[in-house]
Amino acid sequence: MEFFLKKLSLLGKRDWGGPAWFARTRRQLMAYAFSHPPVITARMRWWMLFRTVPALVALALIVVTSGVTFAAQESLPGDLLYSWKVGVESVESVFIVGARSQAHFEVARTAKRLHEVAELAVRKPADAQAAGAAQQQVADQIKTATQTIAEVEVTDKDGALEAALELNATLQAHREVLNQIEAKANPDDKQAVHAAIDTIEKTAPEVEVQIDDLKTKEKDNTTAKPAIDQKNDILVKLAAVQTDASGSWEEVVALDEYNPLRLDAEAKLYATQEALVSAQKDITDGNYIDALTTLQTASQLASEARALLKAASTAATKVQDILVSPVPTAIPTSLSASFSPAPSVLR
Amino acid sequence: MDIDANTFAGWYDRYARKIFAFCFVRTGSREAAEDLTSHTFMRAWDHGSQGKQISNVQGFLFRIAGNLVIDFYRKRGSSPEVSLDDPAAQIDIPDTTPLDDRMDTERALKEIMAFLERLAEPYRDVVVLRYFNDLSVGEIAQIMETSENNVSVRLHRALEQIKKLSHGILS
Repeated sequence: MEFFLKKLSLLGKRDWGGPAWFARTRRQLMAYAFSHPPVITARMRWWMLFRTVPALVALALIVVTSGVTFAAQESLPGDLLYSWKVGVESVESVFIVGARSQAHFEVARTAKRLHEVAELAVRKPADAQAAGAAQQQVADQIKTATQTIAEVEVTDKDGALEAALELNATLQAHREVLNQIEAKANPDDKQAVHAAIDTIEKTAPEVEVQIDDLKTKEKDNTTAKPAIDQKNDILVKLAAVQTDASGSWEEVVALDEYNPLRLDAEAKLYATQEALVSAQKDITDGNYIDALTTLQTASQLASEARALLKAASTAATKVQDILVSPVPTAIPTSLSASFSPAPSVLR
Repeated sequence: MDIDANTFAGWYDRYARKIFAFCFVRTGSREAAEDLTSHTFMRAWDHGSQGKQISNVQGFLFRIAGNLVIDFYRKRGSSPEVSLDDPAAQIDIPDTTPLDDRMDTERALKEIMAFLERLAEPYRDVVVLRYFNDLSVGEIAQIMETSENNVSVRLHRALEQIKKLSHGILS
């Protein structure tokens, strides 16, 4: 039987007709088709119209909305397209699947609001009203993000802790950005920047409380498990933090070496490394809960380093220029007199 | 799918060789295969150009070709029995084939056709489509307008028959 089927298959691969016949027949069939043109029925006319018009309308809509969305990306509170930008984000959130993903999405939105605050702080001329609106946006968005994280906690404690650490790290990183802007701002502009920093400092403690609570729950859950499961959970966490930290080192070198956020990130990554070494020693000694505490610290440090690097690399150009510029130093009056030009002897 | 000349040309370029091979192995006659293939595409154009929808082109063409093969045998009175030893029963092999190869191929094709003629009608087409035309079970199911499960069962039974016939020949 196999022999028969194999022969049949081999014969089937041959070109039985021959190229000359196929080419000739093709010409004959095309001539037939031209001599028997299609009958355009009323149904086809209606179908052609029915199919074409909505497609053209949809295409036009896509082109227009894409253009507007692209233009809106750079808009800030007070700009004409800002409400479009926020509206697009709301539409995007509808398509986010999963509570954990939703929490990360809200943290990303928080970062966007914080970027807007920094950009407004360096934009000239200063717009106090827009700055106030941006700060309110930040406060509202932080509240939304913490609420979303609380919802995630119900079903996914690990996911909630991860998102809370990311949110806290984002707030700290952007506070540092604003600190740098404040240090280098004109005296007239410092107040507005300080107000933005205050907004973060008022809302950050709530996130820190959420993190402490989640860490305690994580420890309680781990303690309740048998020793072998404790070890396995901790080894998984160790591997995750190591991967996180090693990825961040590659991002460090991409930043300007004079960027203060890079320096902060490096310090945190070194601290992460030390914590990981300490955790490994605890695991070897069988002190799993101590190892977990150390890993929680390492995870937070790694998260903060990552947020600093992200804040630095995604900041607007004007903000990045300010970050790498030196802090202006006022010359003391005693020294400035020595350097004032001498009266001309030629007068 | 609404038809125009370009679409029709695309159908031909894509499926003409398969349809020809199918008609050729089913009839054993090059002349009949040429005729049936041309008619298959003409009927497909006539159907499509009247505004009738064709959802699966390959299946549609093979169905037309299969019906035309049946009509071919009806007009001839019965299925031809190909004798391996009958020098008059010649099968047209394309002229492009080298002479030595042509004789081997002719013999191989005669053997195949003799075997296929021994298969029951429902199994013949499914074996040709699967092993000669190299179509998948899904594609065959669309051509035959039946379920894949049905096609698998037919194939299995066809292979059982082929096995029995093979043992019969050997013994």
